[in-house]
Amino acid sequence: MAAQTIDMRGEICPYPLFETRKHLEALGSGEELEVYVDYPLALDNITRWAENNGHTVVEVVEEGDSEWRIVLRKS
Amino acid sequence: MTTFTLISGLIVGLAFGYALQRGRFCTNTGFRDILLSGDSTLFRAWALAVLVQLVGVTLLHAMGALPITVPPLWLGANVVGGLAFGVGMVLAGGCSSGTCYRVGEGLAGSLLALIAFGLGVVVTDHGILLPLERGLRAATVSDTRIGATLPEFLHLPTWVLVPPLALVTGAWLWRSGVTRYRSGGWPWQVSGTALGLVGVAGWLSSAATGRDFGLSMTGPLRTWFASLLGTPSALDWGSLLIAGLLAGSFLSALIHGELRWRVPKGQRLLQSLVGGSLMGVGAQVAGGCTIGHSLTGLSVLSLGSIVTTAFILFGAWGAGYFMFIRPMRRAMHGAPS
Repeated sequence: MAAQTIDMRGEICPYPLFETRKHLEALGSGEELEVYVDYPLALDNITRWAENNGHTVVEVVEEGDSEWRIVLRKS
Repeated sequence: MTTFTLISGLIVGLAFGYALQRGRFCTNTGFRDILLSGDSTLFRAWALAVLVQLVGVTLLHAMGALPITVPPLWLGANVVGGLAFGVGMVLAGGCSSGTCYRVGEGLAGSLLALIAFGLGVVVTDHGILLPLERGLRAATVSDTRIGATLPEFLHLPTWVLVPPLALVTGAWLWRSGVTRYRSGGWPWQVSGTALGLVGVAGWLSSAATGRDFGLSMTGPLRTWFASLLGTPSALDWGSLLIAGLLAGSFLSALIHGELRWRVPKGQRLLQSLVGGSLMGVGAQVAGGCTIGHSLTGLSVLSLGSIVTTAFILFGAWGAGYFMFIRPMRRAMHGAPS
C-alpha cells in the first residue's frame, strides 16, 4: 500500500516530475508513492528520473488510453 | 506551382508533426530535463537534428542545389527576444514546436499558449508593440558590420568550420547510450535523425516554391493569425507546413492511443496564456523561435540564430531556476520534516 498518492492527470510538464520528486523526497526510505499521470512524456520523465536516482519503479500500470498509475519506492 | 507549394508544405508538415510527437521533441523539455533531472536525452535529439541538417544543407548548398537565406543578426533584438521567448516557453511548458504538437495531442494548455503566441506575434509585427521591434532592430549591431554567419564573422570558409563542428558533436553523440522510452516513443537517435531529414526536406521543398528557407513557425503562424484577424494573405508553403504539423501530431497521437483532452487547473492555464504571449512577442522581435533559429538558422550557422538560441537557453535557465530549482531545494532542505 502506497504511503501517499498524487494525481497529476491534466497537469502540464514538468509539474508531474516536480511534484513527484517533492513528495518522494519527503517520504522515508522504503516507503511508496503512487502517481497518476495521463501524459506519455510525464511517464517517461518520472520513471527515468527515479531509476537514475536509485529509487525503484515498483510498477507501471496502464489504466486506460494514455493513463498510467506509477508506483515508486524510495531508496 | 501553387498546387505543388500546397502539397509539399503539407507533406513536410505531416512528417514534422509525426516525428515531433513520436520523439516527444521539444527544445524546452530537452533543456529542462538537463536542469531538473540531469537527463540529456532530448537535448541529444536536438543536437543530432541540428547536426544532420547542418551537414545536409552545407553539402546541398556547396553543390549549388540549394539557395539559402540566412536569418539576420540584430544583436539587441536577438538578445531581448530570445530572453522573452526562453522565459515564456518555461511558463507555457513547451517551445513553439512542442506547443504545436501538444495541441495535436489534445493539451488544452498548449492550445491556449498557441493562440497567445499567434496574438503576440501579430501585436508585435503590426500592432501596438511594433515600436519595440523597430527600436530593438534599429538601435543595435546588425550583420552589415560583422557578417551574418559564423564563417563570415571568423573570416573562415564554411568547409573549414563545418567538419570539425560536425566531428565534435558527432563524437559526443556517438558515445551516448540509447534511452528506452516506457511510453513507446522513439529513441533520441531515431527522432534526431528523422527531424534532421525533415529539416533538409523542408529546405528543399520550400526552395522549390521560391521560399529559400527551411522549417519555421513564427512566420507561418504570423500569416495564419494575421489572416484570422483581418489581414488575409494567400496560403503559402509555411501555412501548409503548420497545418500539416498539427494534423501529423494529431494522427500520430490517435494511432498510438495518446490522444486525450487534457485540461490543467486554472493557474496553469493562466501560465500558458502569459507564457505563450511572451513567446510570441519574443519570437517576432528576434525574427524567429526555437525552430526558425535554433534548428533551421543554426544549420546555416547564422550569428543571429546562435545569439538568439543562447539567450533562449539563458532565459529558460533563469525561469527554470526560480520556478522549479529553488522551490525544490527549499522543499528538500527548508521544510520541517
